[in-house]
Amino acid sequence: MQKGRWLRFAALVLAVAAWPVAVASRAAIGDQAGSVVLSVELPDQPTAGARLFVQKNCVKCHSLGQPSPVGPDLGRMLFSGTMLDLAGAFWNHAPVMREKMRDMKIQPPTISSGEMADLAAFLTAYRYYLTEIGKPGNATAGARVFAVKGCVRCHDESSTNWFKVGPGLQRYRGRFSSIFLAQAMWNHGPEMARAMRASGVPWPQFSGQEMNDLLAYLQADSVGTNRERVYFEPGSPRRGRDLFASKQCRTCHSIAGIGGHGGPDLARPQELVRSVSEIAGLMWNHSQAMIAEFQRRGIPRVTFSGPEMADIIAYLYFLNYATVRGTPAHGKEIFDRNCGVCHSIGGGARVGPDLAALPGLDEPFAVLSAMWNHAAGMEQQMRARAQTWPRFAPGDSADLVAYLLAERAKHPTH
Amino acid sequence: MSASFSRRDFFTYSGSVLAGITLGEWGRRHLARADALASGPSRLPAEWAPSVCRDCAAACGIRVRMVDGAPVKVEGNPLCPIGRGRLCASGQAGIEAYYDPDRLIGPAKRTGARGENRWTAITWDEATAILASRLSGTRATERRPLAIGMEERGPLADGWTKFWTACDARVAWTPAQTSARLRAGFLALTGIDREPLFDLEHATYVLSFGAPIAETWLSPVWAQRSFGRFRRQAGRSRGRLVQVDARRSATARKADEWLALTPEQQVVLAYGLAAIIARESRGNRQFLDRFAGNHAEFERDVVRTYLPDEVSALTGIPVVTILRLARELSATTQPLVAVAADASRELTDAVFALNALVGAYDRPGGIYAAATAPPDGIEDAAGPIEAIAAGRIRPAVLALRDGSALRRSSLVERPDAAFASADFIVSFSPYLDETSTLADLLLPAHTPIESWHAVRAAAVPPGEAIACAAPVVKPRLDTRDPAETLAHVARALGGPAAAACPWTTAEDLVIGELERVGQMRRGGAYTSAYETEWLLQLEKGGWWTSGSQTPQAFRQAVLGAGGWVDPFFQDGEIRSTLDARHGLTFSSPGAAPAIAAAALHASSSAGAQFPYRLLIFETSASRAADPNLPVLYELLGQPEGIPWQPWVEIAGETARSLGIDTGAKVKVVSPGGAMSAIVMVVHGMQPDVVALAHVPALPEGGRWAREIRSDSRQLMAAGSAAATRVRLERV
Repeated sequence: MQKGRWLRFAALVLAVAAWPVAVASRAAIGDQAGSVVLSVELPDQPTAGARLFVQKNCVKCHSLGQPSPVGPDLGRMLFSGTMLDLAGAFWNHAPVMREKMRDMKIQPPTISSGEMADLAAFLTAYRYYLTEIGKPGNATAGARVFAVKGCVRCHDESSTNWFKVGPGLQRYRGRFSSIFLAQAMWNHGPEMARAMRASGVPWPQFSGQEMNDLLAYLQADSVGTNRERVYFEPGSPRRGRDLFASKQCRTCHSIAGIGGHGGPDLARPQELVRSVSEIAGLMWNHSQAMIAEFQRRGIPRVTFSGPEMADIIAYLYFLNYATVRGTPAHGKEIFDRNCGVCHSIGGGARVGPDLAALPGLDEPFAVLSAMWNHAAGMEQQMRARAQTWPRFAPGDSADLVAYLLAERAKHPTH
Repeated sequence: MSASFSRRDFFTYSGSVLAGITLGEWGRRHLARADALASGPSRLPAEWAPSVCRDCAAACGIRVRMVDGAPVKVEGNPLCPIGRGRLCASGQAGIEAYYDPDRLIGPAKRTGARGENRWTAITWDEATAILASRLSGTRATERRPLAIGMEERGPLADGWTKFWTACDARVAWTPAQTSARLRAGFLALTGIDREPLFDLEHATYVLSFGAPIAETWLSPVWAQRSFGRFRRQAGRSRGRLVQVDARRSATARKADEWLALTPEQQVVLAYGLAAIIARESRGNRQFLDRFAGNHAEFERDVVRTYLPDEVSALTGIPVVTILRLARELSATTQPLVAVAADASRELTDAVFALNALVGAYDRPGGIYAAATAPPDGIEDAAGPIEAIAAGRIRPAVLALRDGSALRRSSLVERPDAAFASADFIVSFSPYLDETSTLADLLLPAHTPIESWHAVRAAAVPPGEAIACAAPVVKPRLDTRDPAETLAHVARALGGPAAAACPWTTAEDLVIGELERVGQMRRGGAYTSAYETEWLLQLEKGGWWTSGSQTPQAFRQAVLGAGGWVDPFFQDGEIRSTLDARHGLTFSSPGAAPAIAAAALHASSSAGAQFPYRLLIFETSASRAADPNLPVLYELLGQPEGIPWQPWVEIAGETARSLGIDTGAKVKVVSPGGAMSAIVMVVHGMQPDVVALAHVPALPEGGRWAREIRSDSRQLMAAGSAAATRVRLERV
């Protein structure tokens, strides 16, 4: 064999050998105790899926925050799992949904992987952006918060009072997002801390709806659309991720174990699955300790401007949805139990296709959208074989996807 | 290849296959074309373009079906939040305006005597010079110009106002059917100088005093949609409607209960109900205690003045019915008392007082204050027109934007006589109508589908909407948008007029408005009901997301969708204002019984010569019946159908006494004149009342209008329909 041919052969071998590695690195960004962290891209515009909700006819059965015509009101459901768990729940209800669609003569929609990701992000965003809708701030409770937390000692709620240290809070009228308040409180934290120490006012702690109530109190006479209204653009989790890095938050906080260890790991489930005002309250509560830590580590004080606070909070919120860990070993069990009767991965076609041979199944939402799009045929086959519809418990869909991606990486026939 | 298949064979077969494919494709195309022609126009290339209906102040979004570049049909714009694709008959007839064979073909000046309809065509430059010269001449006189147009809001209407204000003119509008005329009563009670918005959709019980809910009320398409939801909406029981109306209108026909009362009797009934609610302490205590104001005095007065027996005697309604109505009204969860937009001040005060007693302000199914205040400095045209008719004012220049100044039923008996005192009349109407026939100078405007639009929708709760669109087609004739005409005149005049009118075309004004709206960073282009709800929920949550990355993209999105909407509405303005001004201010309820009694006395003492009280009314078809929309003349007198003729509704007893029935022709005679009409017998009407449909006559107008030779204005006594009495003569 000539030298050139040897080289070409070697290059081919290397390329083939590198392929599973590349696929695996795309699918998994970490490996911990037998589990892998699946790469689920954070949405840039989580509300982009709102239009899909109509285009895919979801709105014919489900509503968001209104009485639902057929299915549950998705705006009122508290869903605390990951994005893949949400997609898993979607799968679990597929037979019922298809049956209802048949009754209503609705053609089941075909959903691409991008659309599946957008829909999951939108449903996630709905709770995030509009959670205050379910529990609108209570102005009376807000007045109590204003007095009890000591705000009244430094601020006048209507106008600047020369006898008070802080500025009047009239400027927040017409600003309907609690992020305005949270951002201002964060940015002025050190000054406020100094003034409060001087006045002997303890650092207030906000919990639950208190921040929201406080905003409702400040908005109390902000009625009529005549008054100028100022809104925040919904935060972008992807921009928030970049800010998280550029504002050096990673120096103290880790995300799924990656990053600094001064502060808590922010990829903890449930911790940040709260309303915007609650997350803002949490940040405020910890701001004193954080400022002290900045000083100790010599990190310049972090302030937020424009939409930055909205982006950061959106990132923290979506982190838990997008940080998806799957255990391939458990995924194999699920596969063998439910899918292996009809499918193989690299073992050739059975009743269904060989999943290693199918193109495009190279990221989690592609797997889920393929499952949804072929659900009708799968359901037919399963009925013929008297099989029950497989249901995913929380975490199952991630495990299954992790296993599938890992196995496909071993059989690069697609 | 085997020996049996030669090269020659190969080329032969390939050539044959190619020829076959070619011929087959040719044949297929031929058949497809024949099929397309055979299957009719649905296969022709068609598209829909958004535009705006300008027939009333509702500013409904429309879409125009274009086939080969020609407009062929008008439908509602499904993205428009007012109608969601629905449109009234007048809006759908809009296409006829564009094709009207009697449209003015360009600017013209009068050559014969005023009203003689003799004209000479002139150029736009000449027209501009004539108007500019007239307006510069007015500066020397004490007599201010007067500019009248139909109620409209938005940059185009503002441009009209700016120009005429700069020319030191009085600017007036005819307030159509919106709640502009209800402002005074609402202001008196609440202290808010805005229009009241009626949340009909969410009411559970509606007591309507003459409000034509199913016809032309406020924003007609919105009202009819709301009425549908009020009647039948998932998750709640059917709303109940009681209609108090002098005639059996379309709304009365749809109501659960109809009480036939004249406008004076309606005031008595409204205060009578208030008296029972007060006497039996059935009012909304929580609301009344918080916003008491002079509530105690009002209750004392109303209870003392409106005893159920007397109310019954004045209205003819049994006491037991009055008691039942008051109890029903106060017992339901979300009652609403509605009133006609052109109701008298006495009736308006009574209705707002009733709404206060049941706590209907700032709650779903009640009344809200409009988000935006109406423009300053514009008066109701009724005042100036009556003043001209009475000779109290003589404008040096009278500018009429459309036919609305005289189209309404009741203002003046002889329009030509009324306007004769104006030195110079300029009309911007695209047609020869009631007003343009009287003009000295005609500056015809485009029809709506040829125009730029940016019109703020009136009276639609909640939120704000601005209907915006570019022209659908190029102007068919030598017409011009009034904004452009006035800009030319302003430049010719110079000084304050030129400074006040910096635009060149109507497009400039529309684009300027879109820039302003884009900078507000709220709301968005018209979109589906679902996405509008999503936008609302985002804004409620404190968020707003721009669907467009650049101002150009925003402009394109809004113009492409047909408008801009911000569905967010923060209620509570009425309550907070009432808090600030220490409660409600009820008007004195004292005079109504005397007025009703006087009307009854007049009725009984009128004698045999003119025994019937004349009520003039308009329906959705007759209100909009333009000389250029013949299809509306076809719809007159529905549901019985009396096309192309005015009709008179009379009670069964009256018909029997005259020996006539539905379809008979009668002459309606008043001390002032007479006109013919077709009889429609309506059982349940008061026997001493006849209701005459106002169908505007325009003998000098276009070919369609000439079919109607006389109208109700000929009957009116002393400029007032309310005081007119008539008799009926069989023809």
